[in-house]
Amino acid sequence: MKGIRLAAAGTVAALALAACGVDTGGTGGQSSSDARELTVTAFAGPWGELFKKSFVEPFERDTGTKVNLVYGANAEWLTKLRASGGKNPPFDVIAFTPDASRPAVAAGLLAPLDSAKLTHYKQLDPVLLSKSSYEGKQYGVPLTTGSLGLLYRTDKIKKAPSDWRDIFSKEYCGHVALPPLTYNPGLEFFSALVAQDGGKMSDPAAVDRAFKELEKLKGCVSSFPANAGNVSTAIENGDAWIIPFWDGRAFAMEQAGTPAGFVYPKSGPVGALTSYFVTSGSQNSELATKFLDYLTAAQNQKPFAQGTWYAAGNDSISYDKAFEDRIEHGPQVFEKFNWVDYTVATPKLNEWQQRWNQIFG
Amino acid sequence: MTRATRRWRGAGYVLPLVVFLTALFLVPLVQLLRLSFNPVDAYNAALPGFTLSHYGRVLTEPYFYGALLHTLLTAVLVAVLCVLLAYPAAYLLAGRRPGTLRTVLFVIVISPLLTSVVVRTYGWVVLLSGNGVVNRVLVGSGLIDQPAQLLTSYPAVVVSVTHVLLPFAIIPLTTALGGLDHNLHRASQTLGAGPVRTFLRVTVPLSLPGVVTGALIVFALAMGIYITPLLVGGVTEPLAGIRVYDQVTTVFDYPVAAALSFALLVITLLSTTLLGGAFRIWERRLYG
Repeated sequence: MKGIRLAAAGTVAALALAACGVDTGGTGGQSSSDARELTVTAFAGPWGELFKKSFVEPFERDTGTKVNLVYGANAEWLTKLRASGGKNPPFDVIAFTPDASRPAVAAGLLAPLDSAKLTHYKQLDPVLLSKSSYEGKQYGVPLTTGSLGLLYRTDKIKKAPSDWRDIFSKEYCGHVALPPLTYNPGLEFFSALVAQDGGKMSDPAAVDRAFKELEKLKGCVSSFPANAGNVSTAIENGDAWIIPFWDGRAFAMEQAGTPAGFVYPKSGPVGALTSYFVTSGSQNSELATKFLDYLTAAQNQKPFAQGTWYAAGNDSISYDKAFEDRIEHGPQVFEKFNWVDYTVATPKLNEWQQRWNQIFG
Repeated sequence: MTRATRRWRGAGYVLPLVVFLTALFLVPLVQLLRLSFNPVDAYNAALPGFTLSHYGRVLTEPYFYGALLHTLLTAVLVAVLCVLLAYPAAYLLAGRRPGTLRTVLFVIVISPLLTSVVVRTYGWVVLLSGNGVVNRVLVGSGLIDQPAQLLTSYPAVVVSVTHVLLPFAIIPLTTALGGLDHNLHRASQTLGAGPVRTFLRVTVPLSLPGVVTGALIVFALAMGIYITPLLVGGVTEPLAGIRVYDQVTTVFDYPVAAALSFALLVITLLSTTLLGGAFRIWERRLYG
């Protein structure tokens, strides 16, 4: 009998534990029927705090609206939005990077924008706007864009790298950090490798060439960071000397005292955009559009961009010298960026990650 | 009070728990099962309908079935290590008379459970990093020239997961060893058996229920663990929990994540049932 009891206890424990494996997400905060309340998402951490100060506080002060900020990240918001099915969504205004906005638009979870209602629409960067435009309709407005380049330890690497291929240098073997393709900088770096000789992600031969390039890093990678915290830890602890990463995070790390440098690769950095959208079925769509108006205003975007070290979506901003000296921005710059083609990458991601794992797993 | 009334009153006591588990565990579990059979569109959003393709992928693509196999082997290894490490500690604890020292020792043993698993795991990250304590000692003592790659290695994952789950083996083992009748030890020694023989022929067999319970709990926890291996081993560690996490957070393919979760659940159930069954057979042979 003891055996039966043990097995039963083990079974119950196993059931309970296995059930904890997937978090499908709850419904989160519901949008209020009171039109003076708005639910807005923001990425957690200092980014979110600065977002509150730069956009939410002025909006609340001027309109008397109460903004409920929901901190988190793409995945959980998309889960909750999918659960709502476009009816009575848990958020009115949502932040997405293109990897999440494309599936959300395809599922009808984001509402097209009426650009005539946005005072600053014409000041927004056309290249960045085009990244949240699908099937000829504008869905989102750009907040900021990061640029993926090479972050490196200045005390370990004396001669700064200049282009993507430098990461393959034998000098750095054993000290390279490589994000997997399932973490945005990993896919963005892969996209840069695909584009090196004019290749496109939709071309299987170009993808094969990029994997061949990646193979050169086999045995040279010291860590595979899968989030920004892991990247900071790897660089600060000295586990890694060089990694493809975003300019804003790199400069913030440098400001915090880490001996870190950043270069925009000669052959072109990769864009990493955050846009804001109004959700389909929002009960507060008018107010949500008004919030986007605040979000795109130059005077609000400027302190946010300078605080996060990411270029803002509004091209009319006159940045301070320290920012201007370091951050590349503007339509000509964004035009030359390499942008990940998520219409190709999203359906292929599992397959590519498997190939990636065969090299590094 | 009639027997039937007593029975209904007994049922009433467990009713809140049954309602709680049904609403927050069984219903979501059934929904998850349903999701695992839904087809997906080009962007992995679930569509109405029925398909077995996600289970087909889980069972045929090395990315998924390799992770299930690796998880199973890792869970077995961690369970064995936990039992081996927990036994001496539990033996020491059970042998102490109730008092301050025993309480202090017990608190030390269960103290890891009082802190967040993330905090405990970051402790390992600090220890094993490039300029962490372990590497500094190894380089400082001249044993190695360059810091060793300790993080993102499989041994680091096994060690950290073993550490995190060790209390779950110690607690049932301490209970089992503490419940042993010491007259049996005395009888064994009176009949001529030495301490080693008494330990092997009396203590170990009688503590086996604790060993099996501890191993089952650790095994089941290790099958679904992902935070510790993710932080220490990185996202490339081919464990099923990390693959599920990846499917949900970056590929946004919930039906495949659900199918992989259920495959993991079935393997865990089968393994625990087999281990429990084997123990039952052994017990029957021993006690008749």
